[in-house]
Amino acid sequence: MTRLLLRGVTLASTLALVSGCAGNPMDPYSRLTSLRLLAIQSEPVVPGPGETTTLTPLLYVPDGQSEPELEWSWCPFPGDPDEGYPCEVTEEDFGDLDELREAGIDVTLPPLDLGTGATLDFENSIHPLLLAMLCSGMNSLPPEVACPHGFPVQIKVRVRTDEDELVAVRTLYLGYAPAEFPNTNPELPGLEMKVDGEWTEVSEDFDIPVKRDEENWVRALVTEDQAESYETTALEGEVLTVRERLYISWFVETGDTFFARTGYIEDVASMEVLNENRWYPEREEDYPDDTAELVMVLWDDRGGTNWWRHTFNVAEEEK
Amino acid sequence: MKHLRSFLLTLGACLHFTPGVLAQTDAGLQRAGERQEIQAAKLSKVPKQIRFVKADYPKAAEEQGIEAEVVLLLDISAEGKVEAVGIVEPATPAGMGFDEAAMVAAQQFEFEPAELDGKPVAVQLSYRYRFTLAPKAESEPAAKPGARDAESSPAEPAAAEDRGPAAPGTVNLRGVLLERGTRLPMAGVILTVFRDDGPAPVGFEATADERGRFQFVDLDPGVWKVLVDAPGYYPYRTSETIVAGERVDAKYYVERGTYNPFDVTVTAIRPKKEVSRTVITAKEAERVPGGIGDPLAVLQNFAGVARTESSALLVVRGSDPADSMTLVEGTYVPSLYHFGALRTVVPAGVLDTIEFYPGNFSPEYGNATGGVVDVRLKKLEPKKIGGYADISIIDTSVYLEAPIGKKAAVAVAGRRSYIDVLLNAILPDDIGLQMITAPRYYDYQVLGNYRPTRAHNLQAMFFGSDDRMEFLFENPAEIDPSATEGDVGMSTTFYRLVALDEYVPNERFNNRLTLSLGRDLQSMDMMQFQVDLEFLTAEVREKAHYAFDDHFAVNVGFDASETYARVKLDMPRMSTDEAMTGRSERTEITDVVTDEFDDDAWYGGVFAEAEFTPGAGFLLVPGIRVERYGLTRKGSVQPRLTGRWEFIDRWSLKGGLGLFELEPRYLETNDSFGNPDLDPERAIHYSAGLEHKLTDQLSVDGTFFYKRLTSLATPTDRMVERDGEVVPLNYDNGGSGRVRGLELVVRQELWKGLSGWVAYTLSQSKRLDPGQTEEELFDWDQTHVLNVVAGYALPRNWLISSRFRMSTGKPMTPVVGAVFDASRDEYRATYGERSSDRLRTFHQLDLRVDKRWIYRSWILGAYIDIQNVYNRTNTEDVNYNYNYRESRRAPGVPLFPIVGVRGEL
Repeated sequence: MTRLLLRGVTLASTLALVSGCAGNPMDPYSRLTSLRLLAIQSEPVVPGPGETTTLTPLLYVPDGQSEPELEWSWCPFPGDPDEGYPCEVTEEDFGDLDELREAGIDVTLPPLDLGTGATLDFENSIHPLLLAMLCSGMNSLPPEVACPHGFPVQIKVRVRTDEDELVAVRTLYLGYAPAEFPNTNPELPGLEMKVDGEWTEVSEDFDIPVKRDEENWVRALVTEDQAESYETTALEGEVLTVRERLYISWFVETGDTFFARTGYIEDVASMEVLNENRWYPEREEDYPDDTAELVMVLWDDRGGTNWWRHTFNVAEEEK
Repeated sequence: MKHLRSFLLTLGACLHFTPGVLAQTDAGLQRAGERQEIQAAKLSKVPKQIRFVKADYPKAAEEQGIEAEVVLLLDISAEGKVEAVGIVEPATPAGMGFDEAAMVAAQQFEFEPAELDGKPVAVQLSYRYRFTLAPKAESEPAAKPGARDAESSPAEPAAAEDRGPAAPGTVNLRGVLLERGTRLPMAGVILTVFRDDGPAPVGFEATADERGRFQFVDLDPGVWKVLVDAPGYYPYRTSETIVAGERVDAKYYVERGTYNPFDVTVTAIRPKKEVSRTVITAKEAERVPGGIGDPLAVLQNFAGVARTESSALLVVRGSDPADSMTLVEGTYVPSLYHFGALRTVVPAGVLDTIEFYPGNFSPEYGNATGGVVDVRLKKLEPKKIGGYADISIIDTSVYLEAPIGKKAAVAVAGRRSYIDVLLNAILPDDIGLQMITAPRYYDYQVLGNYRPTRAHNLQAMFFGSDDRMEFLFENPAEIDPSATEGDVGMSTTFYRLVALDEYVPNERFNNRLTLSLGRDLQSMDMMQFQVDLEFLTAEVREKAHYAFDDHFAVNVGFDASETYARVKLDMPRMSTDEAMTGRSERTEITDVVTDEFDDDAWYGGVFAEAEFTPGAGFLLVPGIRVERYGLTRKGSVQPRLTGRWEFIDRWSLKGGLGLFELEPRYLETNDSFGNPDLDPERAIHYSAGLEHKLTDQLSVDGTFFYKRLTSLATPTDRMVERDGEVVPLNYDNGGSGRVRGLELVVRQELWKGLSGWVAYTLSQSKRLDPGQTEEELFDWDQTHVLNVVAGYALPRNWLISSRFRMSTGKPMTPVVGAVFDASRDEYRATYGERSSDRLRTFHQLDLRVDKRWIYRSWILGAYIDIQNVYNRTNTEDVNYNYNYRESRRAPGVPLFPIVGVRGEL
């Protein structure tokens, strides 16, 4: 009797906890269900003085939504993210820097509003000496800025369709000195999927379906040389040669991936950790379409970005 | 006949305090200004009756064969004299003269006085006088042979009328009388042996000695009935067969009427000087539902305390949790909770009481602007080796205590969680996570007590705690893009030795000296960042009390501490808010602080307090505290004043006014992160109230409070020149705030098995940061907080208790949108007006049922603690999806029963 009672109470406790924590889960980060901006690529990654970079967004627009319109702007000193990154300076603020102008430095900035367009060409027209001084801090402007890979400015884009709207930002590093080390967008050549225990490359005509409600192993084909080496100064002042960290953000139209993001960190997380993931497409009653897109965004910690996308067939596993 | 009746009458009289079933016990919660109630266990000596006077049996009642009981309330002076006798429960039927006879007899009783801390004190005690008629007998029993009290030795020869075959003066029935379950000797209890199967009833009595031993001599061979009918105990009946030339050795276990936690208490009167003070015994606190046996969880049910999702967050009268302090015997401990605040690091077994001061506290306490919690250690007075083992779903604890001679005692205790075992068993291997050290905690205590003289009490406790967990994420990018390592872990270890010397040479003077030595180790690994801290602390606290006369007394003392710290930091620069909330405004971790240093800081405080009692019910307590802070090396002078006036019997007015200061925290004063020039944060406490004792057990207490906060440390972007360099100021003293409110407490002390309280707090807490023009609600502001706690002791050792809580939801800042940061692959929320919304109202009913089964030499206890009986979906927070477009309430605890068992020796 006592054992029965204890078992009953234990069961009740477990059920109570489970019922308290349960509920409809919210969409995971990896699942693409609404208008999304997944990445913004700049080519070149760090525009040098007078150089123009092309900013290209990677958008996911659900079927049935109108063609998106994009409005671009930039800001050298973005404000509090809690308030939506308001720009804390205006063009006029720089116009007031008379001491620089008197020193012969052109303090003219590009207009903060950069107009509309599917992509953006942004010219680094800011005087390199001004950028160098901003990196060191100026009394009349916001406090010292960390410039590990160039002077960071924020690019903001507002994406609108008839049905939806979003705002995204990215940091763009503006070079103010000749680049000592290359900084290019990493290459993401493709993906393999494990089919019957064998890794099989996913080509454009790949038609083997991914299995619904099953674990589908996938592997990106990023090679280690995509993590570029560069020199950096440690906190103690020591100059170190380090490799970029690489990340892949995984997005799918159905189900979820085991990791939302995988990463390569030299001596800590291997390329295998970066490349491998698992995809769990939903059952047919939850996702009736028979195709689903998988998107990988490869990016590094110095602003480099690239992506790869493919539409897969999805099917129930044959029993 | 007359002879037999006389000893049965004596038997019927209570020679001991009546246990919990008899009213005026203390259920634990006390409010200032009432008659101070002290549990019997706190008395260093309970009163012992040295003169008993038999009451005359009312003639009419005797003739009609009527028996009765009268429950008296005796006021016993510090000299042991009965100064007053009252009737608590009159005899039934009334009008027979039982009450009067019992009162007349009781006025002639004499006692060895009770003592508190070695000092004789006046006490009140319940006394059940039982009028019992002897069985009808044809003739009187033989005067001898008979009983011999255990105290009377050696054996005396039997009287001349000795007719039995047993050899004169031969002990042929002896034994030990013990309380069932606890095995405590039942000293002073009378046993009766009798036989009524012969031509004439015969009976004898013996009194158990302090070890429970008793003996009878020269009983005739045959079957003898044995009766133990002690007040507060179930009557115990058995029989023994006496065989000529043989001796019977017996052991009797007598069951107490109730084993509920509201143990035997007596009351004494002691004037109170605080405006508000709440004291609860650890024993009662751990039985309040919802706390899973955690005695400190009950603090959230007191007036003035807001409800928070964790017991470790104590929000007192609208103050930040860090503004209040929790002490053990007046000394600092780094953390009173294991992680998750599931358990306190000091189990209820080694605790005596928890004292809580919500404001206007004595200058004895410093460096706090909120409230003070002082946990008092148990004074060990075990009469036997005993202890308990407690098994619950999260951990197991054991406690063992033993006397060492008559002057000393020792106890050891320990606890270990098994969350790690459960996690290791449940979690699959391929989750991308290596559990290097699964979450676990343990703690241990060794407590000793030594009383070399009646005036001295020496006490020491060595205790420690260890919390640890360590994970390795195989894919650190999943945690955060800025992670360059996958280690996440924390550990907190501390050791403490607290030694206490109490010296009470006479009623005018007492002294309390506390020493504490400790070592604290804290370590945190979060990806590539580490913090390693080691603190060595020595602390001394001294307090002396001297009463010049009945109208004037002083309390003086000091406290000082020296802390030596070894610090190793490798962490992002962050504000206190960021450290507390985990929410950072930076998009990249570029501002990293790496530092390794040794440092030391000493704190000191001197206080003095006078107690004026000019008469007419007035008590005025002015005091002052002078303090020196260790981190900022600044000082302060804090005057304080409290007063009480009992203007009519049972009605008291009370009030307080004082300055309280707090040194800003380490992150705010550190050279690297903060501003070492910060001033202390200040609070002026105002309070006024009225207390009324409706009955001896029922009281009402209302207190208005107002708190003005200034010089609050707040983050700033200002740059300053320091040592010739322009550096960020990080913090200044620009913040301010105010709190106002009302506390209302209705308290029912234990009465006929029922006890509990209703505590309601109405309050508003606001803050004004630099640059703001309007005050904002404080993060923990709760307009209404209602707590109803009730316990009822049922027969057969069942105890049912319940707790109902209702509170206004805490303020929250609504999310109005989000921006995707492509450089970090995450959405950042944008927020609306700060604190412009609230979580929904919280309410919850918890229920707890305790049952004890009393075996001969041990007690088995079991409980079921059901949280959220009606399964209310409370909201502890709001969770958002990745882009903040969807939200879900983070639910509180659902209907959740927890079971536990405990075995007590």
